[in-house]
Amino acid sequence: MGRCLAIALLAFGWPAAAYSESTPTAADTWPPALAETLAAARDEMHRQLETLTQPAERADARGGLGMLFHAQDLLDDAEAAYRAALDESPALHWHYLLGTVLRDQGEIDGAIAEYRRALALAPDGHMLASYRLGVALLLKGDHVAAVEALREAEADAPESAAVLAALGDAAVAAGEWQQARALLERAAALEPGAGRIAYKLGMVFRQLGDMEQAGAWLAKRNAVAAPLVDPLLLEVAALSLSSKFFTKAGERAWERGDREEALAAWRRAVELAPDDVDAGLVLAHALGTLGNSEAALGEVRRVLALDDSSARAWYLLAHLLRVMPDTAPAREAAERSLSLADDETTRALLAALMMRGGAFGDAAREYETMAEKRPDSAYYHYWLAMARLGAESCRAARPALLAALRLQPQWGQAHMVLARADALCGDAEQRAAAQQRAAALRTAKDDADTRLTLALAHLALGDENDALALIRAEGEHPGAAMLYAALDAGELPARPFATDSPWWWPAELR
Amino acid sequence: MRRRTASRCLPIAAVCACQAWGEVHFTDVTEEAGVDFVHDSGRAGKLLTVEITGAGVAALDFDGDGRLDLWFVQGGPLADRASAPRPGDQLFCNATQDGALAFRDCTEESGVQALDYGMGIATGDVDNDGDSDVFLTNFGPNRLYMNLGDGRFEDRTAASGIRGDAWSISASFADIDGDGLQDLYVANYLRFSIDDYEPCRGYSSRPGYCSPRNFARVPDQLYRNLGGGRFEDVSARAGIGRTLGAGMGVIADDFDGDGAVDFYVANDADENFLWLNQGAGRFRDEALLAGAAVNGAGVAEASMGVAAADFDRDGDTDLFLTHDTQESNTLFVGDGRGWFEDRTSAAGLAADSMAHTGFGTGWFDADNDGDLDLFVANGAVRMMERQVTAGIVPPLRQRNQLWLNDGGRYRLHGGGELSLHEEVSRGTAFGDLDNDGDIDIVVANNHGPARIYRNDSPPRNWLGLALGSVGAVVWRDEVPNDTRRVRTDGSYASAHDQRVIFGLADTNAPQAVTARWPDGTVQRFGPLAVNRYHRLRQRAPAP
Repeated sequence: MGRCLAIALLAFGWPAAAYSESTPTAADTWPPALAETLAAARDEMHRQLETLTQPAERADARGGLGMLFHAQDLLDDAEAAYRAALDESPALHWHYLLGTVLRDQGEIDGAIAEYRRALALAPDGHMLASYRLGVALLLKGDHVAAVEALREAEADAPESAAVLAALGDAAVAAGEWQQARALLERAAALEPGAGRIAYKLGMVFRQLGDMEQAGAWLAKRNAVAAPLVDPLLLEVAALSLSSKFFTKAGERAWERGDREEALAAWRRAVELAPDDVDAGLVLAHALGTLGNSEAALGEVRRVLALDDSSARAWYLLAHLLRVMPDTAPAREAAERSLSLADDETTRALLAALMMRGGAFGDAAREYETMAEKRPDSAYYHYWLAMARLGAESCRAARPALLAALRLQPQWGQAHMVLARADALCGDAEQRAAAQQRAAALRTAKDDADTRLTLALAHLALGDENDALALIRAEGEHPGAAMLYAALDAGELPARPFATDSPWWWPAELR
Repeated sequence: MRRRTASRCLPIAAVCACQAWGEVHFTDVTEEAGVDFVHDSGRAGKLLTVEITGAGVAALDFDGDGRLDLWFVQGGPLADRASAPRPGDQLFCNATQDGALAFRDCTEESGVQALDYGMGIATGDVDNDGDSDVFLTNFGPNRLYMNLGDGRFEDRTAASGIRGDAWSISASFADIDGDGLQDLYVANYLRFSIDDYEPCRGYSSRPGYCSPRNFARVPDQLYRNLGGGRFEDVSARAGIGRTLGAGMGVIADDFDGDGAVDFYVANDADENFLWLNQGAGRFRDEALLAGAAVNGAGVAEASMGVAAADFDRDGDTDLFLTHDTQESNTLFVGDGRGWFEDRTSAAGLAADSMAHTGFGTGWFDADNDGDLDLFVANGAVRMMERQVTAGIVPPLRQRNQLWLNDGGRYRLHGGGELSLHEEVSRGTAFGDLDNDGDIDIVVANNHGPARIYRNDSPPRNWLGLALGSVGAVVWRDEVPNDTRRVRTDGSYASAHDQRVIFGLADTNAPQAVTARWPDGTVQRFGPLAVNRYHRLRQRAPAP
């Protein structure tokens, strides 16, 4: 008997005593401003309740506090407040919000009950409650009841991709593949950027045996859901004091292509947590990506003033400065970042800046490090070769190029550099092979680069006339100028590409 | 199997576990069985992601006495590990007699001195000498312990060819090339540095554990067994080494029915992998088209634990994955062509899982009625506000869940004391600890005591088979589509009893069975008497 009583008590209570520890818990870590805001809101509600007599007004006071809790993801407190509001006066919106809180807590049965209660108070229907009820019923595996609720939602919002996609889910659950296809295709037409719908269509077409369509839809998939405008939840969201909330909201907006909304959310995140390095960097990166380099640089410098030990901030500064004519500040920032954290992306940017600044020997050392760490990366072997060619160590470049081509045999760009390198410093056999390689490249793609590669190969074999014919056709091309200079000097150029050629610029600079 | 006696409990409360849960019943016998393992996560207020990730447990008969022993993986302090006392893994030898489960700590006498910050464990017969060897995944370099066959283990990592210091969680032994040697897949998690770590903030603005999205993913590793306890890292050659993920669970099976071993990897907050064996040592990830990379909504979930079995008895392999709170666990039903369909909701497994964060899991026949039930060990990864406020440490406690298979649809069942405790459960091992013909469950809790749940459900008929050959598939001739694979892998960071038990409900007639061995040969046995174990040996090939 004693044992069962203990079991019963344990089931109700927390077994905290057995695990109590002296280490501080997260309870000590509330951000003070948030704690003060919530305490003040609670006090304010109690003051209001002393004077309010109308049930609906009292419910609004309690529910309003619930929305504040809800916005901070304090779901237990929000649930209690919404229930208290409903005890004062039942209303559709409190049932609806309680339903969403219960759903977020994983209490699907409770959520279904609240959505049903909300709908019972909406004689003309309520699209969002119907939609959420339908989705919750799908989770319960009751696709028949789900369709009923979702059809109600569709009646109110026939052009909602979210509703159509949910109806598509119900059709999939019922094994009605053609119906699912039709519904999901309608949804995808309404929201072509919503990649989750694309994934579902991919699966439906796979099931229908149309692998071509399945592959095409799967190629369009992404993490973006069909949008759903929910005024009540937007009202809740606006009460959030969480930088993370707005950071995530920005990410979602960015994913669906809404750049302005994303920027607004990320600016709000920074406002709420001005000392949050990550929030600042997200904003700075977005500003930079959208071409507002000045604002981006301002933000990243603000972050660095807060924390100059942030490797990511120094990296971002280097990234933003990478296009400036003087590469020294960007290089300095990249080196600072690398001194704080050994990161491959940063090292690649640093090496690229060295390439652009003409510091080929330095770049070669960085690429050697990266190629050693990532021996399976054709990219790093290739750029190690380019750095060595820039440093006029032509013979040392060849093994790196061959390593790149072993890993990526069809890489035309690497074949072209190998042809030029062999033309410059290869033995007689390699020079002959360079000419064949250059001719093959030209056959595959006849453009200025392949023609000048062939011209260089001709020059290397002493065939000046054939070379000249190809060079003349390129007019003012910097590569042609380089080869003219070589002809005038009577010796091959020191490097395979002209000094300012974009061939020296790794992808990190773009 | 002990028959419950209702008189042990008075009907004083609806929550009295002994009384309210119907027939299936598990009893927490940890204390009376003599297992006092307590996991130390090393938590010290820094909210390091690594401290909420361990740990695993293995049920293995390492000393060949026919009784399952238990190996618990330990964590320990995360700061100053070189100088701080480190608790180390514990091995408990099964000393059960007369049906009363009993274990004794035999760590020292078995030569086990695993003092790393451990994550998980995999078991397999690496050198084909007939006993279970052990691979330990760590936050840091992994370890290979070879079973010497005399009740002792020896750390042979240095000579094994096992390399790297990635943060690994789960591993699986399987013969990828049909050479009769158990190769090894290691699921690596994230690139993580304690020194550079800062806690992340949740939506409530409190500091919390950082999610995997804050860290760089890493490739998994595949080792080919060269024999003699030596391995070669073939990750790059196999096509596995270039794909980044956040591997938490891994399980081997023949998912596309071509006779070769494939791997399914549960990635945290990332798309899962389905590495289909292409032959000649190469693998290709076909998860996306197979419908097993993301859930039916197209969302990559936080996959932790994984189970594979033919739960619907149609002759192909199905998958079950455990996930974070606000995501449901996911059931992928196989269609026999290597394709899967998310049927979680239809099977009744979605809604009731959404309030929980699942880790260890497995399909097993809890009540020996012939169909496969599901267990999920739960424990949050994000701090639960109510528990934070109440001062609960760690504030990540949840109840475990048992779903009973009711004609192909699952319904949640308390399972007696199985769902009694609110703890931070992680690894889970399944096995018949007391050799009474039903599956018991061992749960490794993060930063808390391990639990042993003895299956005390009412006795039903059963047939136990010891094939001794991981990867073999066996079925009863009466129900040829109801196949069971011999495995020790799956769940989360844990290893299981490799014996197969068929629940027979009321059938007590001797059973004819057929085994398909890993080399493809098929062999019939029986009829075999029920309610006992049978050792099935592969017929030697004709000279």
